Amino acid sequence: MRNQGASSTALKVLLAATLSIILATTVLLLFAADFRSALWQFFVEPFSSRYFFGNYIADTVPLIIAGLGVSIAFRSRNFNLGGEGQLYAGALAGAVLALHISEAFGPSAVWILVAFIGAFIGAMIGTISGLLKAYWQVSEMISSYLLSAIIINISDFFITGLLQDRTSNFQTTAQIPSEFLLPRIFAPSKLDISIWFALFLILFFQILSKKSKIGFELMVCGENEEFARYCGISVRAYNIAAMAISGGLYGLSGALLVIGPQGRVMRGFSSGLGWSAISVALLAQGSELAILPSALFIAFLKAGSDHVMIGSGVPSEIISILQAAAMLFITAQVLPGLGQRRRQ
Amino acid sequence: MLAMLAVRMQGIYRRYYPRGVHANDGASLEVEKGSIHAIVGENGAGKTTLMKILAGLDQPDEGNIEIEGKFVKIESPSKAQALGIGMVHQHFLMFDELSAAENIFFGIEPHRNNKVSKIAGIVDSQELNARTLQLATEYGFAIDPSAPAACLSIAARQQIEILRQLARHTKILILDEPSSVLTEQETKVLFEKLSEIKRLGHTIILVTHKIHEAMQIADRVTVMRGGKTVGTYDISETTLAELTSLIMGKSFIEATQKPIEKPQIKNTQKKPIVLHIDGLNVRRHQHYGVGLSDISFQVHAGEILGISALSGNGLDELEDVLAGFRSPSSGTCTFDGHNIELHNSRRYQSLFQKRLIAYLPSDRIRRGIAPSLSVRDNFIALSRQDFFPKGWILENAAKQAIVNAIHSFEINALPDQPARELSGGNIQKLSIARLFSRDLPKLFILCEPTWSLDIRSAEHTYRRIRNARERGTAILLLSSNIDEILELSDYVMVLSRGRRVLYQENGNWLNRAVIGEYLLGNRIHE
Repeated sequence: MRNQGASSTALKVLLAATLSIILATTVLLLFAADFRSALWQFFVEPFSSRYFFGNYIADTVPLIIAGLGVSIAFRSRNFNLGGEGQLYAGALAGAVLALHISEAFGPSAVWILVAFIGAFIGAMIGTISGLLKAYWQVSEMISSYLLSAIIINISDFFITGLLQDRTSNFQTTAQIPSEFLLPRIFAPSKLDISIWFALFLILFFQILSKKSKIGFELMVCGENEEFARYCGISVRAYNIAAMAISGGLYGLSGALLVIGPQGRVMRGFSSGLGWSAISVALLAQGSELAILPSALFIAFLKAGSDHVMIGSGVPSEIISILQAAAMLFITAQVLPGLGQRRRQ
Repeated sequence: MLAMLAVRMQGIYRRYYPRGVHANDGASLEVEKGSIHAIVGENGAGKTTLMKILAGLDQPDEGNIEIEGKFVKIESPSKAQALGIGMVHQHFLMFDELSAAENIFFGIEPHRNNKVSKIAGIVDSQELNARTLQLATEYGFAIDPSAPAACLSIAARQQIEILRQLARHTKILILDEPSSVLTEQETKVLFEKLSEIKRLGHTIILVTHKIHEAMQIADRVTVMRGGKTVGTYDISETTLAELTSLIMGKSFIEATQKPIEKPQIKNTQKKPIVLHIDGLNVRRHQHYGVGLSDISFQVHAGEILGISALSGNGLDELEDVLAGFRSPSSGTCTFDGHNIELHNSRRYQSLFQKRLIAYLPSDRIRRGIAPSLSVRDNFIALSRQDFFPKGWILENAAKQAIVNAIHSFEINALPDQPARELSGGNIQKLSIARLFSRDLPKLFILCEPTWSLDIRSAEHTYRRIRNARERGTAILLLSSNIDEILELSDYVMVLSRGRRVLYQENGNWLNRAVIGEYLLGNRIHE
């Protein structure tokens, strides 16, 4: 199927993307006061200035990193639905570190520490779901989703309580001092050096899954568990590892957001990023290299609709519906293929 | 004088794709009304397929069906039910959470006599239990209507399946291998009930591969072989020996007369024992299989122990235990002089990783390959130490190895082709190539090694197995192919109902007919 089905899969992905775009334009036609300017805002504005374009690219960074994590987990047939919580927790842990312990270190040490602690926290949460699946046959989809719901509430509790910035009117932590933020590379936009790191991760995971024993064993586990056991591969270990990697990359993307474009953790910080990363992974169809165009596409949908929301006064609820419908198209087109592979 | 026919099936053809196997190849069947009619034959003779067609679960490519003299087309199980035909399957289909009565009347539950109850589907449980008792008494079953199905024994579950059919006014009751899950005592009880059901005017069709059971209960018997009907005989006018040879085929009878080439046992000096299994017990699975009781055997270096059984008699269980896929409830294992715990044992599994044991699974599709992965990936998956020596793939070595294997094992496949596109025979060759292109292990566990291979490839495989034996590998050959067992083995073991009924040197007194009787459980030698 990887050979014969490749073109039909590509076709499905393209169809999903096209349908999403058609839907977006239809919605704009219905709700925008001035259709032509709304069109321009949707399709052109994200590319129209250094500021907009840079921010658009900055938006792809967490999608790339988290999308990679979801994609790696898919490979072993693990579905991590706890991305929102893992990202949130990773971000919060990173923020605490950057705010309270940073004085002792120089900026670059803080960046590495924050990234590490974010990934670590996310991985820990993912590991819980992996362990539950490996030892008690608890569905990783349900456990990761429910854990995430709990973690989001706990994080909100800290943000609005212990960590609340008293000087701010928002429900947010304090702002991280600017010397500890990642250097911006595309002024005046928020794009920072984490984009290079994201691209490096794509390459790293591409090589890992195509060339390494670990990647090979992970793939065998996903294709046929019984065959994996026959080959002497510990399916249990890979279930846990897949969830840990996936959670870790979610946590990492959250931490990089805190010391990158956001600079603080506001309530509702993840804002659906956890789900968008799943769309990215589904569009990429298990290929690490395809994560880049997929992330660019999903971020484009968001950037375009944000511009329309601001520029043409289309209510934000309509934009949310649009994004949700786009995700529905993608899953409807892409998931049946995954299901078929599962049955065989 | 001809009795009224309940069922008449003629010229039934059913071909299964993609392998193009004829499950039914012009089969026919005539069943007299109010009789117990047995259908006997080897595994894969097409018995179950023919019955599935009669029960509306499968559609024939060609053929006519008459029920009580009328031509019918049975396109669904509900049509079959309307015609009064019902089937009790080998594996029971039951809701564990529901009671016995709810299982029996599922979908036709009595409702309280008011509109709300009918629309809301509220079951009148008093009436339900009363009806169940009435039904059970009518046919002489002892059933507690309110007992949850999960608590019931296998035999009681089977009775529920039968009552479920009778509650739906089934006049033609099909039972597929009903005794395969029962003990001898339970089988006796079942047969008493079947006689009672027959006395009340029902027609019963009994699918079985156990001839002695057919002779015990049936009025008439139809023999099937290779998807065709061999003939139908009155039980009173046939014998066990006659039926055995009809089931096994003409070539079988001829072959039993000519001596088989047997391996020469070199008894000059015994080589060391490689594997010794003692007192192996495996619990029966909740719903199927027989488990294993008190199995012991040993195999020496340079020796082949052939183990055979009919399906559902313990061969699968033995394979799973030996391959480390299933934990036995008790039993000891000595490998190469070391005591090794079989129960959930990492140490036993590590023997496979160290290549001291190599295992060819019988289920080539589910266990033997990953269908969406390429032929190359499937090939290297079992020898990852060779192709990922430092954790990274050696592309050239992998490519070279698969090209060599394709060439020397005559696999009709491309390295990059997904394994699912291969025919059964080529998947089998790939699995064999994986094991035989490495250094020989101390112990081979080979299960159905010539499954779906043509004669020439099978001969190649036999040559490789003999060659391994010459070079001192101990070999366990688990196979349902008697010829293969007799031709290759130094020692022969036969299982029936999960017990060892034969464990002997492969002497000249052993031939197909003798093994056949052991397989069918008619003879026990200890």
